Amino acid sequence: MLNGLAWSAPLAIGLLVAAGALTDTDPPALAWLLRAAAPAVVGVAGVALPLLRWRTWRYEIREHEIDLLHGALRVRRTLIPMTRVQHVESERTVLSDLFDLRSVTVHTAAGEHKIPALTEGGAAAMRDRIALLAREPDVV
Amino acid sequence: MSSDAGIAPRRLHVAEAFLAALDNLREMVLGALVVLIAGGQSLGFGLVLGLIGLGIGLVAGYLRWSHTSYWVSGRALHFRTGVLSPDDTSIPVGRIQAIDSIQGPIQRVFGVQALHVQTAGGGSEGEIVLRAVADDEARRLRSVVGLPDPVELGLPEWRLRAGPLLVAALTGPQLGVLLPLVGALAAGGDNLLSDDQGERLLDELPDDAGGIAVLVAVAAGATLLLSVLGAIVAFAGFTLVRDGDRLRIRRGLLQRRTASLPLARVHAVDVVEGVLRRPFGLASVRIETAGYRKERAAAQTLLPLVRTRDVPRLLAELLPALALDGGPEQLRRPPSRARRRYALAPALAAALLGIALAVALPRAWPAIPALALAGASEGLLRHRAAGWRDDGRHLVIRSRLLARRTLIARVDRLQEHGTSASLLQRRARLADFQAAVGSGRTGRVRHLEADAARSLFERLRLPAPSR
Repeated sequence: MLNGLAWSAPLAIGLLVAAGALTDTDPPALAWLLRAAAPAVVGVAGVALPLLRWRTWRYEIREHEIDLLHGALRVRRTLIPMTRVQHVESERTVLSDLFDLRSVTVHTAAGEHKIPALTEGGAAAMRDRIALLAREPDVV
Repeated sequence: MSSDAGIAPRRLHVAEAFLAALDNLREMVLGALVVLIAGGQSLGFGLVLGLIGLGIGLVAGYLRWSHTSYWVSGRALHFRTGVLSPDDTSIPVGRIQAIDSIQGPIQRVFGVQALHVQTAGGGSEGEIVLRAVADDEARRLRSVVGLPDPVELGLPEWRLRAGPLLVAALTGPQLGVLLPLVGALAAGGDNLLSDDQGERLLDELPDDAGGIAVLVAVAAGATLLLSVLGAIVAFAGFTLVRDGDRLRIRRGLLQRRTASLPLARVHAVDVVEGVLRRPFGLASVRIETAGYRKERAAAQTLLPLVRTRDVPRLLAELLPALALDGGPEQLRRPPSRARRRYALAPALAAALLGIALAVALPRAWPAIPALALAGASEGLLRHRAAGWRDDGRHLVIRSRLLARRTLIARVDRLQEHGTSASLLQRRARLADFQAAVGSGRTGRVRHLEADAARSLFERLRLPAPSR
């Protein structure tokens, strides 16, 4: 949700500024439209979508594979065989520290996948579990 | 055969002294420039400084050469280099997987070769690099180590001859983009600018429009020439040999390099049929390997130019693990009801481009429908090209982005796979499928029947525990 707010808030401010600039020259209807759009943008992109995204995040760590399902409008499901996991790390940022949240990132030779918004203990447990399950070295 | 034979410590060819001197000079040039510019000294001073630098570089190079040696003893190859604090590297002979030879311009002047001693897990740079070894010394080292020169083994090889090399250079991927552009400029430039609009534009521009068109054409021509020359330099003398469980690729005009690649590292190949190549039944084949992700495109080429129908046979010979039964043509395809979706996205994108063009130059408005139509037909061609196949061992994914690309991947080397579906796709019970190989290349088919995508997803997860 914070990420959504982070980019939607400046956009809304931009809309309000544009509305302010327009009032002098153009018919006021357009300016009011822009003013009305600002909270709508924040509401949808900053609050509703992130909430939906958070509600639809699913993950399952099984013995042989990691199964990820996420996305609000576009739903993605990804399967990573455990033997392909190269390394796994848990991360925190200043922002996530405010809410005591951590994310875990799984790296493969092809790319990386981030599982966001975990509790501190949950992230550590998941990281250690994946590391343990993936310990069998990959045959490259 | 000569298992107990060794090689007494010996120096590299004296060319090493020059190579080392060149390294030194390269490092000194920057410092010298700083001194010159900061000090604002005269040209004479610079010349003296340069001569002193040259002298130091040569002496240092000589010292390095005289303190560099290699030898084989106790079933290991040893390499020592360094004047004050020598570095020692030893590799057990059994761990040496290949000795690659590379001839740069300087090596060719001296008639020597650089030997890269490859071990498992190394990159393309050898664990030990002997930068200057005469041919007979190289042969002796190879025979002691038990890895004869693959070229001398007389293995069957695939060679890019002069004619195909030229065709490969002329039909390269860059040209496919540039040629139509040049053509459009030549044909459309005059028409667009011949009326009042053109006149006014002409007045506003600092230079006349004709001159600009010429400039653009010249720039495009130069780019074409460079890309053709670049391809020739990179692929001249391209030779490919399969030697047991390694591929050896030799190529290059100025810098002749021989690279070797363990077959096990090849996770997939990508058959690329470029815009200019496909009409002639031609394609190039790229290798997708693990761990070589950061290397240049030329280094990832398996076959710079082949007849598309020869690809299955060549794969069977060169990369048996990726050989398909029945050829790559028997693909399953997305449903025909997905055609609309395939056409719509590129049509919209092209129309937007046309609108932007029309805003900038109102007379160009006919570009909007023309571009939209072109986009739509490209989309339909994408639908025709798209397909997939999975026979338990291989996953084949074909897609088109102007060029048609067919990814043939080993299922047991897939890094990840997944499905995705947007809101609209879910309503129409369609889904995208994608799979990624170790090089980071992702194959993707769009708008499959959701059930087909799901069953493919499930099939690919089965083999995991059997390893």
